[in-house]
Amino acid sequence: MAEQIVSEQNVFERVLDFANRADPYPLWAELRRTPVAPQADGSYVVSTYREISALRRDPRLSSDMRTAEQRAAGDMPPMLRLDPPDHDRARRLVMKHFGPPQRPTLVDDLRPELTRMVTELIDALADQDQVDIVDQFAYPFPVSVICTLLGVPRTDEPRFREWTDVLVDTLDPAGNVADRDPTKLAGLQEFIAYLQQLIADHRRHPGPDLISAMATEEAEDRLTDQEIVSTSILLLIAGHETTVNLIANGMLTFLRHPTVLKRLREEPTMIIPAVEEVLRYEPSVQMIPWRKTLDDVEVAGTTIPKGAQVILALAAGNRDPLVYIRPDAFDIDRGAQHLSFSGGIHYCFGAPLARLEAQIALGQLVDRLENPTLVTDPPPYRPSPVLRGPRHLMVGVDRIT
Amino acid sequence: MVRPGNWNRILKWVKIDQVGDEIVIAQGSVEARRFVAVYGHHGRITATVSFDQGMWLDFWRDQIEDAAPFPPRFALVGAPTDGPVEVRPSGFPEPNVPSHEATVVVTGHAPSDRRARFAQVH
Repeated sequence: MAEQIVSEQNVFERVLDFANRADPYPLWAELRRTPVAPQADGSYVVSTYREISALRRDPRLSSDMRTAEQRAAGDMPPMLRLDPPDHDRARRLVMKHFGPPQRPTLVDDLRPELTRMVTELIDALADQDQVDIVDQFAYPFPVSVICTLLGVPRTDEPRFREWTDVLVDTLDPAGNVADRDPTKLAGLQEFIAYLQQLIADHRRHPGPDLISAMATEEAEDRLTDQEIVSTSILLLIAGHETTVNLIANGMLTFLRHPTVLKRLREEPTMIIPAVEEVLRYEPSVQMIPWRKTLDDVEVAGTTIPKGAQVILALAAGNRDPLVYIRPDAFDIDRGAQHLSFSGGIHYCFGAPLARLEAQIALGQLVDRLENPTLVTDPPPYRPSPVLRGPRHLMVGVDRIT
Repeated sequence: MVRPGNWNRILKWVKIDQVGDEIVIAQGSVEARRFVAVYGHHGRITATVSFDQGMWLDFWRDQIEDAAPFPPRFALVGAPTDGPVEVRPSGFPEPNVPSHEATVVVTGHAPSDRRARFAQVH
């Protein structure tokens, strides 16, 4: 048994190891043989579909990883890392400005604006025979979208790249970089100060954006400025980095499957199921590392003790052979569900927007890039094993129409 | 047989045919109108009703299918905020009451023998 634990620990450590970032899937498959895998540090990795699916709706799992001291100090994390009732309140107060019933058409109304942004970005590539899909397309697009949504001036967009990189690093279960690196910590403080200023500005001169809506809310129950800051940070990471990765992972996957690429050019509406299959096959969020048990929880015959960290390996569950036929095949006709937006009370707030962004972005790329080819396969990857995606995606093209 | 059902978008339930004679608020707050109530019978969970908390029902359905112990004693997120958790009688009428919804019940077997009876609940 001790020997088994050591080998399981090694599999997950190899997933975290940057050397395996390009293809973690054989390791996820190995890990799935032990659906609930205890780790040397006392955490448990859950990697099978059925078990992940049940745990994401299990109230015995908390998303609040604050220590007693952090709690006493009034440290308020974003709703993604809070439990009810605080989570429910925060989510309700933000969601009311983002979707039904109050703003049912908000996402769909963005369609012409998103199409315009994508068209302009691709127009700008016209005279190149080689493009970096990440730096020149996938990165700037969601930044513009989230800035439009939050009401951040376009001129401030370049500063967001550095801040977002800092925030993404803090989610790495292998090490909390922001805690150790004073430069990154300073960057975070700078970003918070910027957001506080933005809230104050929007309160004086409100626009049609989300920050204005939250800052000028007149109902008695409303978000504090600190909560608006943490919500904005959350929407920025969650709405941005994940979408960059979804677009880049999508284009990479299409280029590796030329028959799919050809079919998408002939049948443009297939982009909708194709995006769903990308979400299953190459999820931007590979795992959710911030859950802990409030009680002993039995999962697939293993008891996870109270107080243990639980890592939900969404990317592993998405290729569980008990659920999917030929799980490692990229098949846009599959019509299958996936775990990539999680579920239960923390189900991805921005899923409708992410889907629309990816459908428009990938749809136009497929349509307008003539004979696209991968220059380097695999491409270089970003450091994070949690929010996983290419750092660059160099694509050669004959012509851009 | 575990059956799900819903009254509207807000009020949903899962139950088995067994009646639940005890009730406990398992999550949320009746005061805040967001809660999960769990019914029990002979120390087993038999039904659950959620009000504006439907996202937790799948978990409680699994508890019903497993005939999990009642009252539930585990620690969970969104535990009741209205005070200490107490098990109360569910207040369902005795099964021999003809109906707990109608106040007048038509009885008799033949068309010529039709009578109405006032049905007092409780």
